[in-house]
Amino acid sequence: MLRAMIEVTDLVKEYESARAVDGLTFTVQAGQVLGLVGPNGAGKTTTMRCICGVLQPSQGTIRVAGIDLGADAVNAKRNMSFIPDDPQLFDYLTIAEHLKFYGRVYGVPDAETHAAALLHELELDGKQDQLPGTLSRGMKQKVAIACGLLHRPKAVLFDEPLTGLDPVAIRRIKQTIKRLAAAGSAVIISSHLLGLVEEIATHLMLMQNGRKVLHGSIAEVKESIPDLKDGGLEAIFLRATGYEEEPA
Amino acid sequence: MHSALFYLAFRQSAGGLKHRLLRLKQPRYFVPALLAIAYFWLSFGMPGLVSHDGGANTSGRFEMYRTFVVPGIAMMMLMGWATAPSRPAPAFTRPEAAQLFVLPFTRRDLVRYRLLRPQLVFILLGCFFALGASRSPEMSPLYAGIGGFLLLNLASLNAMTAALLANRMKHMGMHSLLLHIPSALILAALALPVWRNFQTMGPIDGNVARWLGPLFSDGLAYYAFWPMRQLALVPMATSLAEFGQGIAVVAGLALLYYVACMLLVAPFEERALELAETTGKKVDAMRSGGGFAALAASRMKKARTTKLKLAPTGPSWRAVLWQTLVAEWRVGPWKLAVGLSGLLVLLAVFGERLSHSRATGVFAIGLSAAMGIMLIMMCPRMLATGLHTEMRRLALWKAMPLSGYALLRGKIWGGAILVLLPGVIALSSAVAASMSVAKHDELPIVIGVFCAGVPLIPALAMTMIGLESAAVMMFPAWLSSMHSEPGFETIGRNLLSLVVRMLGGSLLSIIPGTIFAVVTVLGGLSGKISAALGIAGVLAAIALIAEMEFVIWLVGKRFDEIDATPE
Repeated sequence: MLRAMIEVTDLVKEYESARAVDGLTFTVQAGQVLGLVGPNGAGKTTTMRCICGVLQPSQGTIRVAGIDLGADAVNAKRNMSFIPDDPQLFDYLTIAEHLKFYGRVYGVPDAETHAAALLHELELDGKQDQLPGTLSRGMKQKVAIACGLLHRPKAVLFDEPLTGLDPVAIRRIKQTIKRLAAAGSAVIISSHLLGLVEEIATHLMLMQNGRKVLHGSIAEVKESIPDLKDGGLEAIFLRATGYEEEPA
Repeated sequence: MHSALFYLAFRQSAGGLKHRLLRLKQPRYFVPALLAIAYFWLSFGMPGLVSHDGGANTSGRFEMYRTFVVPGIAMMMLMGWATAPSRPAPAFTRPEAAQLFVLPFTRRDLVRYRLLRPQLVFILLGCFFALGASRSPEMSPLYAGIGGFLLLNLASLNAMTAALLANRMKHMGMHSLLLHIPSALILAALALPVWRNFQTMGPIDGNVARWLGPLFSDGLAYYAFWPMRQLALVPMATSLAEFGQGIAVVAGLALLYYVACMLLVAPFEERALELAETTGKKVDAMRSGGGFAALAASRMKKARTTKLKLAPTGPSWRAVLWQTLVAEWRVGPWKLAVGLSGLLVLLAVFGERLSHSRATGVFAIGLSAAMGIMLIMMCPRMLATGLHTEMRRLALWKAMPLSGYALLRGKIWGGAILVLLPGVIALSSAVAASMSVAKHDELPIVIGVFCAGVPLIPALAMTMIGLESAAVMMFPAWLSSMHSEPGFETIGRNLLSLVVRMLGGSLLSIIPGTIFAVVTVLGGLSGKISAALGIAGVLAAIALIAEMEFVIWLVGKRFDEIDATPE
């Protein structure tokens, strides 16, 4: 039986004026890739930030690799990684120093060899001694991914992982995500690129106004709207969110 | 504390220092750095500068400094608490907030890291304190350096404690006024003893310390300000005993603050992230070259649609003028400048009548003149959409069917028009005050100065903005260095910029200045000084504007030739 790596139960996140996430419950098993989609303002980023421990849930529990994030945040975070859409690297740490720092944080014994392998996989060979200021946005994104994957996390959260990447890098990252899942990690990808989600996700959750609108395996989601089951996710997305165009 | 955070703090500080040193290889950093060193050498290190007279004057001054340090420290501590409700979380940078909060660190580790991170800056500032102290024969540079370093750390701990308490209070559901209770209590504890000791200044023979000292040392104030007096001893100690006494108090207070910090820790990531993003936006805005106006723009969420009309056809420079006026008026400090100038007019008109003193009139003249000069001198830096900011959008401007002349003309005229309104109000204030102070036979001169000033204000503003824009066009690589992380060379760069503007302004004012002088002298000889001043002002302004039009044309050609990459 597959082990639940990310368990979110009755998650609520309220701000002063609005409820960004409203009673969300879902599980991501080891080896699964969950595509988190929804229109702007649906609550995807808030959900991701709650899972990675940056935002405090107003209600509900989050468990990562069986550890309650609210009760033992440090140990829960040891098993996960969050890769944001806007890579914010330290200005005066070289790429190699970033990886050394991450290796020390997670206590990775083979940090040096694994870092070299990740840099090679992400085509960052020869960039070890460069500062982030000299890199393109796509390169920075790759560095953030390398840092996030160094400790072989059991749960990985990607927020728009392909922003700013070239087609070659996009293919690399897709392969990396598939490799992670195959190695037993639970992956959540928040993205507006429905093609990407359809290609690499095993499961899909559609959010709107902080709530779950559709959730299940890709096949189950397609089955849930029978007249669109042969169409792509885009048609399902538009139907489920109420943005479907009127027939001409 | 987690060893990785030690590594991060050290590598970041060392990396920052190395980066700033390495970039000195480039002339645009090296030249201003040399100027900055020269400035510091002239200020602190030049032989013969240190006063060794040991006379009563120097001792008196030293005692006065020591007296001022106590209220200074009290104010610094209070400010930390007063501003805490608006920043109820430890301040992290955007990369720190984005990365460290998702890593497996405890919140206490993060607070310790935050306290550790600025140590290199504090050490460097301690060195500056030591350098400053080397000028005073009574002060020990060693005590001043160590004392400055320790006081900065104490201020950091004070601000951290205040922020963590505010965060904890928010976490407990307290909002708005309740969050100000700690600072109100501290204010009361500091103000009450001072209030009990307060007496009017009276005849003090110019020695403010003699009046200020007892306020902070007599009666209840003796106990209330005892810790601050001991803290003041650390950088300004004159003996090892004094220094040791101060160090003991610093150590005690630091321990208290640290324990409080560790006990007050509550979930702060969300607020710290918000704070980091807001601060990051402000820093971006400041670095983009727009100064405080760009800062206002970064905060602005919505704006009213302008009522200023723009015809769909016509010269393209007018479109740039319209864009400059709309954007600048919306975010620039012009409304504030108009309001302040208005207040000055009120002071000039009613001040003397109410106070029955000529001093009020003279004060109003001084303030108005200072405001007018500041407006003209500072206006290029006040502009959010001036050319120094627009260089970021160089590719966009270059892609438009717009000549460099049209772009510069619109920008420069726009800035000049914006300075006109507050400038004329400030001038009116000075004239109103002068009319109440001046003798009857001096009134024609006052009226003449007003008539000359009105056309000269936009012309002078145009010169300042034009010179700044010319510098941007001529040295875009130099300008791009202004958007990088500030370093030691910033002082030299600001000095150089001022010198260049003053030099350029002086050269451009030769012809208009001569015209102004000749017409005024002729008018004075013919006994029509008022009219002569007015005519001289108009003619000088026309000459200056003509010169600036030539500069705009010249620099506009450079814009047409420049590559879209400022480097």
